[in-house]
Formats: sequence, C-alpha cells, structure tokens
Amino acid sequence: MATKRFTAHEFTRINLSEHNLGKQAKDFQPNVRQSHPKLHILYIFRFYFTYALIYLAGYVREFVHWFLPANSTYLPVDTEKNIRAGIQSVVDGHAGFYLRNVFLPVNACFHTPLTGSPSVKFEIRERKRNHIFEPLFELTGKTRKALNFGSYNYLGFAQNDGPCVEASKVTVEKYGIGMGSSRSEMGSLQLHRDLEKLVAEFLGKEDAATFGMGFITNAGNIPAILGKGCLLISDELNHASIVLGAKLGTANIRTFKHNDMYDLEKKLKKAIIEGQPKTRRPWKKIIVIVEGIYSMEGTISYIPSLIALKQKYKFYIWLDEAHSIGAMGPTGRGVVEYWGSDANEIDIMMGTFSKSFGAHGGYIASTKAVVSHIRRQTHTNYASAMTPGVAMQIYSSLRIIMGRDDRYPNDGQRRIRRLAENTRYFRSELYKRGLVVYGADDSPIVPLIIFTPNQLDIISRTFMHIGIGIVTVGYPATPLLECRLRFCLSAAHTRDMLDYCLHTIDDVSEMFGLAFLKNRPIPPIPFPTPHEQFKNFIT
Amino acid sequence: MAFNPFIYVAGLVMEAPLYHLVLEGLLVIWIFQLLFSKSYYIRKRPGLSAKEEEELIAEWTPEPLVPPCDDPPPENNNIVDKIATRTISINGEERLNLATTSFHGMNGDKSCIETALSAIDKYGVGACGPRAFYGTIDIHLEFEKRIAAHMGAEIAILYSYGFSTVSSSINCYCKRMDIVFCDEGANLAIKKGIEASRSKVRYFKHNDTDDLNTLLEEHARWERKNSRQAKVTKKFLVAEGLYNYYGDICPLKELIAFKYKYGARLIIDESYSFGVLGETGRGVAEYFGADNSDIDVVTVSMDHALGSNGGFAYGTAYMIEIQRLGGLGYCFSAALPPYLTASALKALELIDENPKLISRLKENSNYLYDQLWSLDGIKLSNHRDSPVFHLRLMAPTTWGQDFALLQRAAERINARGVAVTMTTYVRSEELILPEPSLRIVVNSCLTREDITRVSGVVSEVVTEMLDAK
Ligand SMILES: Cc1ncc(COP(=O)(O)O)c(C=O)c1O
Repeated sequence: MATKRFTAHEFTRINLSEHNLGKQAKDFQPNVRQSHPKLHILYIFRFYFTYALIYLAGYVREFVHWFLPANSTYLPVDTEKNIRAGIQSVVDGHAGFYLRNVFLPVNACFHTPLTGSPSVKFEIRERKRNHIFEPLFELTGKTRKALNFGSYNYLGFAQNDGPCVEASKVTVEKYGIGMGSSRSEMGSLQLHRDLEKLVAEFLGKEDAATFGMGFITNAGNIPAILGKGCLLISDELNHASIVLGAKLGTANIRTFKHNDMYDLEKKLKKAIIEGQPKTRRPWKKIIVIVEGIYSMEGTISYIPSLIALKQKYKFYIWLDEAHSIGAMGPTGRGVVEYWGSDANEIDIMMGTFSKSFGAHGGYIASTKAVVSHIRRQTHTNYASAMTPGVAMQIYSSLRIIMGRDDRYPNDGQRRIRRLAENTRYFRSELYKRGLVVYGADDSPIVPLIIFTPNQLDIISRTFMHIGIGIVTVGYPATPLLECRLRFCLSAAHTRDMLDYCLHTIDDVSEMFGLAFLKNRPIPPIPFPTPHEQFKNFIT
Repeated sequence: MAFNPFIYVAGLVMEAPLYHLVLEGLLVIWIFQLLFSKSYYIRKRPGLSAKEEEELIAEWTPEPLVPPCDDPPPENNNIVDKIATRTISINGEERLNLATTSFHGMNGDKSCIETALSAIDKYGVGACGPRAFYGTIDIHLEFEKRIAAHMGAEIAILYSYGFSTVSSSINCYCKRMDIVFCDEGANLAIKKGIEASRSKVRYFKHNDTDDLNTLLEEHARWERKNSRQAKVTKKFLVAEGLYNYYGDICPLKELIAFKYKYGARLIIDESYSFGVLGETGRGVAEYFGADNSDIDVVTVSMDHALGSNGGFAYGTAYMIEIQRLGGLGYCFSAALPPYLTASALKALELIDENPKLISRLKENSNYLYDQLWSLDGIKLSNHRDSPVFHLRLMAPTTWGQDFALLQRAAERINARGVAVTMTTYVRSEELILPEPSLRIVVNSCLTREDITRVSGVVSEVVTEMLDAK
C-alpha cells in the first residue's frame, strides 16, 4: 500500500490549524482537527480566584489545627516510635498541603470500587466516610448500577462472558495461574509465542515481544535502546511510564510542546547543529517518543508529519499506542493506519493490552534485531512472564479484531466501526452545547474541561446519582487550571446510552455553568477521517 | 501656589552641596549601567547560514537503533506445556521443577484455579483502568484488607506487577534531596527505583552492618555540620528480606536498630521471604522475632509464594496512603486483573491454614543445603533456610567463562530430568554485577526422595564438570 508522500512543511502547517478552529485547509491534505479552545480572560481570572479561596481556606484550617491535638485532624499519623526517633515526615511542604486541603476533600471521586466486570453497564459499591477530610472509606454494602463512561473498554472486550473469557478459562485450567518464572528462564508458553507472532502480523512488523505490564513495557525497555550520547526528545505530555523510562536511561532528555511539530522541528534542528552539550560531538542517535492518543487530552499525534520530519532529520520513532491500538484506524491497527501511513516508518511500536483488549500487559513490535535486543535487555527478565489467562484473552480478542475467528467473522469490524460512529456522534453533540472539549474529532477519549477542582467531586456524584460513571481528573495528572471530566467511549455503548449521557451532561452543565463557549461553540466536524480523505490516493 | 514638582526638585538641587550631587550622579549612572549591561557575555559562535545548517543536518548520520549483535545468544527454546508445580514439563519432557519460584505450587493448586475460574466468571479478565479510574474492583479492596490483617499492618496497597511494586514504592518516598543507604546485593527493581528517584545513594557491602554503620556515621557527621540542610534530607535504609541474587537473609535486627539510632526509614523487599521465612511464612520479621511495625514499608511480589502476578506493599496508613498518589506504577497503570487477585487471596488462605507448607519448604531447603554445601569447587551463597540456592564457583575466573561453565552444568542437570536455570542478569543494567550463578529453587511440593535425587544429579554433574575443567 503506497500513500502519497508529503513534505514536513505541509503537515506542520496543518498543525497550526489546531489553534484556529474551523480553518479549512486544502482539500487534498488529510485533515484532523484538534480542538483546544481558549477562554476569555475573565474566566481565567475566576479560576485563579477559586484557587485562591481554596488555598485560603486550607491555610486557615491548618492554622486552627495547629492548636488541636493531632488525632483530631483525621489524618493518619506516623508511629510514636518514629516520631520519637526524630525521623522526618514524608509528607511536607506544598505537596502535603495540597494533599490535605485540596485533594482529600474531593477524594471521593477517585477509586470508586466496582463489583463485577467493568463492561458498559457496571455495578458500583457504595462507600462512605464520616468526615470530608477523612482519607479512608468504608463500604456500606449497598451497590448501584450505572453506565460505564470511565473504563478504557474501547472495543467492549471487558466482559465476563463471551468467547474470549471462555478461552481464557480453559487456558487457566490448563496452564495454571502465574508462570513463576521469566520469559528468559522457564516461563514461556507456546501461547506467548503465538501471541507475539499474531501481534507482529497485526501491526505489520517483523517481530514482537510481550510483557506482563504496560507500564513496565515503557519503563523497563526504553533504557535498553538508549545509551550515552543519545538524545531523547519526548512530548511534554507523555505518560508517566515514558518519563520514568527516559529517566532510567543514560541519555539526555528534552521535551517539545505538546503535539507541536513546529517546535519539534526546531528542537531537532538545534540538537543536530549544536551536537552534545559540552563536548559538541554529534549525537549518536536521536529518538522521538510520542503517544498515539494522549489519554488526558484526547489529541492524536501527527504521524505523517512525524514521518516527514524523520526523513529529513533521521531520528528514530518510538510510538506508544496504549490507547489507540484497536481503537483507531479502519481495521483497528492504531493511529498509523488511521493516518494512512506506513508502519515500516515507525521504528518501535509499543502498546498495551489493558485497554482495547480487556486484558493486561504490553507489547513492543519492531524489526527482528530490535526486538531480540530488547528481549535481552529488558528489565522484565527479572520478573514473571505474562500470565496464561491474560495471554489467551488477548490472543482471542485479537483474533476477533482481525476477523480470524470463524465464529465471529465480522465482529471485530463491527466493533471498530461502532466505536468510530459513537465517537463522532458524541463529540459533535458536545461541541453543539458550547462545552469546552479537547482533542481530535476522532478520538474516543473525550475530555470535558471544567477548570477548577472544587466541583470535581460534586459533579462526579451527580453523574453517579443519575447512574453514569465518569472519570474526573485534576492536578497533578492535568495542569493545575485544567481539571476535567473524561468520557471514554466504547463500541458497546448504544445510541440510547450516549443520549442518556448527553441529557445528563445538559443538566449538569446547566447546574454548574460548564458551557463556557456558549456564545461561540466549537463548529461542527468538517472533515471525514483521514483514511476516508486518503481513499483516492491509496493505490 | 500649587505644588510644582519641577521647582521642588530644582530647589533641592540648588541647595545640595556639590560633592553630594556628584556622588548621586555617579550612583545613578552606575545603576543604569547595572540595569542595562549584560551580566555575562556569551561568546557567539559565528552564525551558520541556512545553507550550512542544512548541510550539517544532511551530513549527520545516526548510529543504528540497536547495536549490531554478532553472536546473539540462542533463543530460549524451553517451552512449558503444562502446569508447573512439583514437576515441570518442558517441550513434552517431564522434569522435577527446581526452576520456577512458586514456592508452594499455588500457581497450579486446584482450589486456587477454581477460585480463579469463578472470578473470571464474575469479573472478566482485565480491570480496564487504573485503580483511581474505575479499575478498583471489590476483590482488590478485600485483598488489601485481608493481607493487611494477615500481616498485622494498618493498610496495604496492591500493585499490578511485582517488579513495579518495590521500585514505585521507593520512588514514591525518596526525593532528590534525600539519601538512600542500600545493600549492594539488592535486586534490580530496588536499584532502578532508587535511580529513578534521583536521590543520593550510598551502597553498603552486601549484608555488612559494619560498613553500613560507617556510612551512617559519616552521614551523621555531615548532618551535624549542615544542620539546616539535614532537616530536609530524609534518610532511607533499603534491603531485601531474602536476597534474590544470593539467597541470604538480611540482618533485620541490626537494620532496625540503625533505623532508630540514625532516624532513617526502613524499606524491605520481602518478595522472596514472604510465605517462606518464619513459622507461618510472615516473612523476615517473624523469622527474627522482630516487630513488623518497626519496618516502615514492606513490599512483596506475588509472583512467588502466592503463585499469581502483581505485588503489594504494606505498613502504616501514614506511609502507604501516600503511594496512592505518588506510586507511579500504582497511579499510572491498569489494576491487577481481578482473577489474579482472587487466586492470590485463596493462596494466602491456604498458606495460612497449612503451616505445614512452610515447614515442609524449610525441611526441603535444609535437606538440600546439607547435601550440597560440602560439594567441592562450589560455594553456596544462600542461607540454610532459603529455598533459593545460588551455586557459584569457588575459584572464579572471568564472568563469561564462569557463566558458560555453569550454563553447561545447568543444561546437563536439565538433561537428567531436573529443571534448573541460570540466574538471568542483564549485565549492562547491573551497577554491581554479581558473579554468575546456577539457581535452584526448592518448593514445598517436592518430596524428600525428589530432593535426594536432585542433590545426586547436581553433585554428579558439578563434579564431572569441574573435573573435566
Ligand atoms: C500512554 C500509556 N502508556 C502506558 C500505559 C500503561 O499501561 P498499563 O496500564 O497496561 O500498565 C498507559 C496506561 O495508562 C498509557 O496511557
């Protein structure tokens, strides 16, 4: 499959349209709109003011508590012996203050416990605490049914019935629960190998390696390809596992502005021209790490411009497809397919199985040489192999996605199409309502920005009361001033469920005044998806 | 008359003595100079023209992504094809299992598997989200509660992978300003956790309390000199209960004494000692009769005794609750699949109900130790009570040669129906590379006859190999 080649310049120009919503680019360029609306300055002032109030209340509280005995604060305290031995406190400074006064009061909207599987209809265990500043909860024993807009269940494989679960059960019976040994010792099953082969085939790569955890797939393998004299350029909003992996290597690390290909090009140019700091020697190699879909922003990375830049600047690309694998592209092969780009241009494709596949773990797909190098160097040589049951869940769901399962030949395609439709529908409905929504039009992660943290808990509870589970995120996972609600769409959501959610959003947005863009809502989605735009060019 | 500032200033100037004016004038000039001069001078490189820049970019050729590997080690062709408990079946060949670390065979226990199956029926396979965002399933909470109660701790926290448990825990407390005293022989997960935290780290000699004492004394001296900085410099002691690389046990009592003497926090990784050491398998604290609450944080991987996957940490609520916001592997990774949690919970129950498992494991370990310790040319670095045996050469040569020799020994032992492995070390990642070792892992499913057979095979092969050398 050959696609039309573009220069870096053409694509970076599109990137600018991110800030000018609705700007029509030339017809033949694939276009993806990523919204990041700016707010009126008065709103910003209001949010700062809210923060000031929260902090003020916190300071007053801390001041009063200073005179009270320690146990009246509800906070856990260190053991007597430790205090007597003069061991320093582990929570202090601003982090401690933020924890006690900003985070704890809204703590109730995190860690909501479920019972049963995290499918689109799930059951929440109710819990309570006696005081808003108390960190620990008790289960009340009551449950409540709700619609799931929180789990990363993009293709709806998180179920407790169906072919994948059955296959997984058979495997557990046959191979047991854990492997108790690493892949390099005696923890390899034929299933692991088959899975790796299937993943490599799915992604169009020579080889793939799988790991027991997605986080460690980044954190434990990025050091393997970095060494002294290497430069790593990472998107500023990359996931914590990537940041950790980068820290563990000996390479220099630089960041570029989120999804800004202009900035990346500037950084690349500077790096190559100036060489290593101090010694001024040229860099040994440059690696750029980006994610497919950013889980907090809903943005999609500009793969074609990245590839165009790569041809000029000769860096290597590490693409983390944790959220996009399965969820993007006409056959679920991730953002590379979504853009109609060539998978061979991406040097290392990484992804996780904990999202679309309803399982756990991660993979790395690349050339044979790279994968076998990583197999030798990975930190997971010290840890257990992927468990058989999980491997089977991935294997069977991947076969369904690829249409290999004869019993369900079209099921995978149906799910992928469903998710794409749901995404466009849900997003355009939100745009109409004047809500502040970030991200690309085709991203199934829909962040709805509410800005200040004080409403997180009450909004979350309102949704829960009506029977919808959503994710609320605040600092430190987002910038201080951009707390948000996040809706994760799934192929298993029906139109009715989406409408129910939208009605609820209407009410909530009226109650809490969330329609910040009421007077200038984000315009309707102008472009078809890139692979549709590309149709004529693909030969 | 209205106030005229100009006249006022002019009056002042007229009235002031001359030297005053000169002085003030100079001051004003000086201030202006300070304000507008550059405080440093960058020696500018002669600017490159756009064309030169383009040339530089075109000229630059990067190294290949991974270094070429001339003689790649052979692919691991050991394919397991059945549940491995007492025996392990590799490529269709049944061998005694001294390779996997499930010390009590919980990975293949009937009731554990049944629990897992019914958990899959109830919960499905994956948790599909991080703990904070609908990844918390009630079974996770139950596990945390039960394990905390079991260990007599206030609370526990469940991670989704053993390796990340200890590294994330360490990374959560230790910050840039802090200092960590860590055992040289600690496993890679611990060292990577410390590395990620960017704290200052002092490694003390493996299990050498004198060396540790010297380091701590040194630090205490520094503290006395820099008392202000010392206030914000937290101290941590990090050790393993039972060392993965050596199979010996940490001197817990001394560590606890140091902890209180020098005011440090103690973090112990009990991945290999949980379910192994102590009368009831409660780990190294029970083994030494120490109080669990004297250890600030204990981390355990569930890959081993519990035969599942994942890990947990426990301690006081004060310490552990922080990890829910600061433990990277906890916050930013999907939760452990519920069925693995359920089976680990069942395994915990089974171990709790049958203290015999622990005593049998200990008997087996002791018995094998007694058989092997006198073997010529080989030294055992492990403790007599440890189920993890590390056979190292008495007279080491080079790392590569020793490794090859031991590997050949391992292959022959395998060929005679006993599955053992070499300990995998990723050499470039280890700061302090342990000598190569052949690892034997005893489990409680093995009978006394099995152990006799194992020791027979191992002694034979080792003697043969060393004689041939
Ligand atoms: C971009 C990215 N990489 C890696 C991970 C970690 O994957 P896992 O949850 O399977 O550990 C995540 C998950 O949150 C992610 O969003």
